[in-house]
Amino acid sequence: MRKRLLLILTAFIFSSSFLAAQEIRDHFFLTDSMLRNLSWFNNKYLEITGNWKYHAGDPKEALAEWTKPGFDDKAWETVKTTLHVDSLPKSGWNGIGWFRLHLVIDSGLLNKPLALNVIHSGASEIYLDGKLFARFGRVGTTGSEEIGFNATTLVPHLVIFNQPQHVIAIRYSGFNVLQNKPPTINELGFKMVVGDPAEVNKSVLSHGIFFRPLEALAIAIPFTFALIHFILFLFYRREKSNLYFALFAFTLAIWGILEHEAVSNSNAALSLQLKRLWLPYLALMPVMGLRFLYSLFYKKIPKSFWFFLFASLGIAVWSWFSLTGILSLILFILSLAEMIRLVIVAMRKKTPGAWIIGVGFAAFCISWVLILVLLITNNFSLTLWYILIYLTGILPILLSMSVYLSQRVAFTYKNLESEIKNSLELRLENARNETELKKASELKAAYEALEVAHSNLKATQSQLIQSEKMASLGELTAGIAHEIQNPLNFVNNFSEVNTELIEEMKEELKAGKTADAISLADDIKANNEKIAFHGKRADSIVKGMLQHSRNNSGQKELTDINNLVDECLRLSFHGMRAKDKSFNAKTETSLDNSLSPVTVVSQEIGRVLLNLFTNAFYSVMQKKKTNGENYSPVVTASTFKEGNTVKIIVRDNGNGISQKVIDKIFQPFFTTKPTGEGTGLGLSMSYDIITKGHGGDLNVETKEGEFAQFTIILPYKP
Amino acid sequence: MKILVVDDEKDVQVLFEQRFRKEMKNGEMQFAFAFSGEEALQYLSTHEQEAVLILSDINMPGMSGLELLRKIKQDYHEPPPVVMMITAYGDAENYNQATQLGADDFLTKPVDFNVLKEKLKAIH
Repeated sequence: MRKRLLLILTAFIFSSSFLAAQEIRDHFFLTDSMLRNLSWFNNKYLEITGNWKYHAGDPKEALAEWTKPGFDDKAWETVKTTLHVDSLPKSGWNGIGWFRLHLVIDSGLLNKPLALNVIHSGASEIYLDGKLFARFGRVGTTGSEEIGFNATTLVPHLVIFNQPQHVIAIRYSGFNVLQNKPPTINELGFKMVVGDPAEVNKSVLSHGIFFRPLEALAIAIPFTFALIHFILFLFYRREKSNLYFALFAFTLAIWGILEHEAVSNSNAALSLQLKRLWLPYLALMPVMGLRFLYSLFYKKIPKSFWFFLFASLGIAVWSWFSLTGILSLILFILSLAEMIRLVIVAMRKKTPGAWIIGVGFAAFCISWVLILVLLITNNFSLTLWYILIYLTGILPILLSMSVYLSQRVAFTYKNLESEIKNSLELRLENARNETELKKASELKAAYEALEVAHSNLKATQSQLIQSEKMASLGELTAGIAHEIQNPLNFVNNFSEVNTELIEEMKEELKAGKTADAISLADDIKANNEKIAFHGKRADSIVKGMLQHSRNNSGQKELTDINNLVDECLRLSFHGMRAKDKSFNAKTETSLDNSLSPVTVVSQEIGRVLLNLFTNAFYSVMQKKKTNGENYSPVVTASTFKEGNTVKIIVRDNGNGISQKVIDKIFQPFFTTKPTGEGTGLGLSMSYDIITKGHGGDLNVETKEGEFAQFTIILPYKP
Repeated sequence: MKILVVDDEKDVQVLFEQRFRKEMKNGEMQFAFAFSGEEALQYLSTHEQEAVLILSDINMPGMSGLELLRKIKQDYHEPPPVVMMITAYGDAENYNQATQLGADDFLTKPVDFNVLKEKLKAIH
């Protein structure tokens, strides 16, 4: 029965270990002891296949004559009823024939019920001592007439022998077996089996209890796996592994059905065809497992798969026709080895979860080792076989694969989860980046706007500087006019006086008063000098004014600082006066006459000085407004050397500068004057001129309400 | 006649000495010079009864001519000296202020010495 499967799988190991030569006798002696200690192999049946008398064909008289116990069959050929294809009867086998057995029952078995059965894929009629005992299928003289009977599930017939001598005649036809060339059955005949009914029943019962559910499980479990993973595949088609696994599990389920039906289906013809499928199937089945494992561990299917695929296809076809199982078996084992290799490689590569499948295969291998051990020690049973093959062999593989896939799904989920997390974070970051980018672009725009504003401001600043110059010029215009007016007055007056004097001198000369004439000439000369002096004075004022209003910074040149200070003091004084008639202040100068000219840009230093003086006058004027009579405003200018610097001090006894604003006074646009009165650029420009333009320094000392003193420090190299 | 000339321009002295050379020679006029308002007051305090006429510039550092005028008109009553104001800025404000303070005459620069001489002779 099931042994056939086993026989296929273990054929190369146990190729002929059960074939024992049997002694040729003219009867078969059945003893009590023979029915004990029967192996699992025969379901507690004793096979009686040897020492049968055989006659080919089915003549008309056979039914009457050959069933008789007394018929002399000594001339018949002695054969084995199995009709192995390699040792067919010499008299030939064309599909139907008669077999006779002379059975001798040991006294111990007399009057006891015995279970009698036949195992075949053909049809048979059994005659016991001339009477029809049982019929299996319909014996026919042609293939179409015959109805084969698969007798595996047959309930045993009971027989009680009450005397020792018996003759069993069997009419057997096996056309279908002969014609269909059953691939896994190389025997065309039948086996008659005898057993202790109790033992047989026990065996059958145990089959009923264990074997059937196991068989069902062997189909149901792979099928369930196949279904689940196929559904999984349907829902997510990109995961091909589910499909391959489903296919693999499906092939296993089909194998279970195939095996079950081939063995158990009572239709012998179908059973034969199914049995014929075993070998091709054996070759093809593991390829599905391989395909699955390759899909797990390889991104691209390696070439070795194609080898297995084509080999299995070739061998499948070949085995179908040749009915030879050895290549299928070799391929099966090779495929299995390859599967195990794949798993081991994956485990070595530390592929996550590969060990799970490894465990499945380990269980499978251990099961096989156990099977071999049990076979060798002859402790095997079909139940054990099923348990080992399915429950501890194939099921762990399927389970492990399924678990692996589930784990992979779990991994995917975890990855997905973290990916989602990452992408969320990324999105947040993107959003952040975006806002930053936005900010950056805003900043850029702001910066550009700022740059534009800055360049505008620069332009404005230079305009402002110019207008500051012009403003101070404007302030000073009146003063300048006054300053020019005075020397011009002198020039005019002295020249007028000189004209008078020259007239007088002429008269004196006419009168011959030479001494008086000479005295007059001296006066004229002195006046002339005055004229020249005041002319130059006016000239220098005009020049200074021009220089002051000139936009470009002038060249550094040797400049008499004292002159410059004096001039600027006067200019700013008169400028203030011009603006405010009521203004007055005392100016004091303390100029160091030993100062040599200093190399400076005179109009720039002049601008600084004008600015400082104007501020000083403004300050004292403000104080005068509030303090009135008791206050006498004084603005002092002094110059002196100190080391290799020259210091110019501009001091006023005005309101001073409050501590709050002292830090700001050199900043551009800072002014304490009411709006419109000051640009706020004076001191910052002055500071720049002194520090940047001349490498000097501009300091301030002040006491609020008492004085302010600005000190210009310039490098001095006499 | 004694005249005190107050001006911060020192060359004014030379100019006046030249311009009034004849008047000084024949003793018709006598000139004293002060170069600031303070100096003028100082002079007046020591030569109280001498100066008959004061010619003062308005624009001077320190004490201005107007202030000097005010002080003179306050402090010197007997005999009240004639004060003539001279300014480069012949504007109404200066003129009005000077008049208010009691200035006897108002001249603008440039001074026409012939006119001045006439005026001085008229006072005399």
